[in-house]
Amino acid sequence: MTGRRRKAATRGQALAEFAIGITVFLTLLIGIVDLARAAFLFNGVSDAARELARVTSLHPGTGSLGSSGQTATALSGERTLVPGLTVSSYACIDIAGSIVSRACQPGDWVRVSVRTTFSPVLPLLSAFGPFTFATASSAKIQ
Amino acid sequence: MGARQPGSSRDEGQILVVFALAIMAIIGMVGLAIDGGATYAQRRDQQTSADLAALAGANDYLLNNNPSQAIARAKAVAASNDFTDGSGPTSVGVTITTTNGVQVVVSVASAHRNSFLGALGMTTWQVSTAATALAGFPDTAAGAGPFIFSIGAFNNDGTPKYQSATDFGDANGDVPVNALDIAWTNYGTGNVDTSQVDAIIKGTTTINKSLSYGEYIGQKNNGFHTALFSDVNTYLSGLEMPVAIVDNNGNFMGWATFHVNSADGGSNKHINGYFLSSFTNARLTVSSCSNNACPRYLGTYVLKLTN
Repeated sequence: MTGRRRKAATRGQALAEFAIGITVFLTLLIGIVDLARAAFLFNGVSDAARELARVTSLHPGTGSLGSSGQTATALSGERTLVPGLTVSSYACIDIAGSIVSRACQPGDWVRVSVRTTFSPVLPLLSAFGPFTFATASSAKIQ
Repeated sequence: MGARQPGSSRDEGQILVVFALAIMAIIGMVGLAIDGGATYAQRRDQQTSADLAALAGANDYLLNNNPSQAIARAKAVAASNDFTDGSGPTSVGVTITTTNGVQVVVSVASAHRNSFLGALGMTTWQVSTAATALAGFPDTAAGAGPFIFSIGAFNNDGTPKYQSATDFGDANGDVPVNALDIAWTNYGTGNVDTSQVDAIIKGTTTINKSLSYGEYIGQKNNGFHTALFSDVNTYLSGLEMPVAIVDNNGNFMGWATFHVNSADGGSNKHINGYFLSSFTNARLTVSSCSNNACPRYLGTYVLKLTN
């Protein structure tokens, strides 16, 4: 084998190694990025539920729970941290967690259920997605 | 010098650059997850600390009427919950206003020390929370019951005669004719209509009216409004609420707090319950109230978070 042919073969081998290596490397890298994004988003959704529950417990709103301006402001603030944040429901519950059928009043609890969707960048994961992160938090109405 | 392997040292340098960029991305994203999560957790802790400090400050003011002592109490409670004023990056501000009850506003500002993102230049994230607590003696009856009691249900010193379960509703006419009687009311806003009082009980209609001492708030049509008893039983059983007290002519005299046990619209036509408080003739107003913002009880004092 001449030197030129050996050089070309080594270059081809390096390219193949690089292709395999970069695929594994990028899969791991994007996987870490996706995992971190998911963790951040889940923390954000949990925090949003708690924040909205607190604000709604202090400002229940007239008409229906969650209709106050303070809740709307808090929701738009949380959306800057958690894009696509949606409130599933503002439920009036008692201390045992049962839905209150009569008019909601101070001493009852408000349960705020929120959700958002998470779309992974990694094709391997995005094939199963998008994933829905949903959580709820309760606070006593003042 | 041996034969140089083609591209080897150049590739190593390239991998170093790729690895450096990748490690930056990894630190950035992992930092976002870990430091971001820890910052969220700190925000909740800090909010709870501010809430408790505001409530403690308001309660202290209510007991001692001393602003500087209330401020010190609020700061002490914040400190006992890990946010000490002047410690490191933490500052706790307390302001007190007394124009409408006492309002204690506690602002807690601190910094979250980032573990990972410090490597990318973001060593701290600022976290600010605030809470407002209200304390005072109520001068507004919100969510008052739409039925009135006789001043005869109280002793001369204002204490209630009936502090255990009692049936009220002897005549159910325009005004309560004796200590055990009641009458329906819409607080003098026109002839009492069954559907209107029904809506007040359900919380879908709000009466917003300032009452004058001695103003007539009884009925004008002597209606039994039998259907309303079952509404009271359904919607108000187990609840406490302010109720208006009138003299023998149906004229407004003051307020008391009443607990509803049950109500029966059959042949008995009575509301069963008892008084929780003494009679007060403070000039109260029936304030704006809806089905979701309607405190149906009137304590001797109020202590709650408002913001």
